[in-house]
Amino acid sequence: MALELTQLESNVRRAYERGRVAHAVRVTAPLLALGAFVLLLDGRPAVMLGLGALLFVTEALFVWRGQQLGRGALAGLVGGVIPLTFGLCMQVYGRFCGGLPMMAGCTAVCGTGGLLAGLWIAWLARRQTTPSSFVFAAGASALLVGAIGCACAGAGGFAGLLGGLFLPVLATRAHASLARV
Amino acid sequence: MRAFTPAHELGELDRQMERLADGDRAVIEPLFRVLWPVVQACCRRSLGAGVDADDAAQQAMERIFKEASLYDRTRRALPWAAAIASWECRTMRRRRQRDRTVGIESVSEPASEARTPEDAAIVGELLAAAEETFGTLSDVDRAAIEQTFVEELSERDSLSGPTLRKRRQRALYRLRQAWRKVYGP
Repeated sequence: MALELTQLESNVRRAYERGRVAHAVRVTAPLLALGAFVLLLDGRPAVMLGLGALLFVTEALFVWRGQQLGRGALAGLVGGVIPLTFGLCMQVYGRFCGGLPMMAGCTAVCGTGGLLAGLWIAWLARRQTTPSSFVFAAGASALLVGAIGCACAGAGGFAGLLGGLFLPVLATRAHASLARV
Repeated sequence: MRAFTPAHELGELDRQMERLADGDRAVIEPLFRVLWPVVQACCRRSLGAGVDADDAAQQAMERIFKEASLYDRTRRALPWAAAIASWECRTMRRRRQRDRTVGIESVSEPASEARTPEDAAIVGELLAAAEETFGTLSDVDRAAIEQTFVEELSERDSLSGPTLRKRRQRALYRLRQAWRKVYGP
């Protein structure tokens, strides 16, 4: 035999990791387009492309590791579409109705979107074998996708999104922990 | 390790492959231990026991694990792995045909494990006769044949394609003539 079995096994492990990385990049590459797409509404390329790149790297890492992190990332992407849509609608409204003067209103819209995404993640996490990894990946993904939509609302919008997202998630996690005690 | 996989282990193999596709690194070792003998046997059946079969099996194993993320959960894992192994064997056979590389070490390798001392003696005699006949050729003919059959020399080849082809054709013709003269048609 040309190679020892141990050597072959380590080659196989390396090949597996290469395959995982290629798979992760292939699956998450379309996310780069999301930041570019939102640029049509929000003319801040550094913020939008930065968020898009951060989302791409985070998702690629989660998909590469797989298991609960990979599943959480997918759930987070789906959940993040809610605050993203809310944020985009807010931006369209602002563009055609004379800007976004009501910072409190923007924060509330982003918070509502985050809350719905958080409820979705909390509901899915109840079915998972290791919910903490799932919630971590889903929360991070939803936050980044939502942030692309809510970036127009500035720090207030991001804070609303963060609060809305993690409120139901933390509440259900705390409830599950208390139930186990 | 054994090449035979009982039916009750096939379901387990499918589940392990699904876990691997999902990113569970813990199943790499058990899957490797189950798949390696199967893939090796598949390649040996296709290419015969030897270096080529082992190389094809190793490449097939690497490819199976590299493409594990794309594993279709509706398919059985063993036929999927065997299909990749068959493809690697086919690629190896094509590569060998294209290279037309017949190294002296592959001639001395047994075609099957059931090689007898008589077979070894016959192979030895044939090699000695081939070397003797080869020695009767001119330096140019010997170089042309070496360039044709020895991979390392072919890589260093500085002759253009048509010149080498013509020179090889003449050298092979003279080698055949020399062989017939000594050992008959």
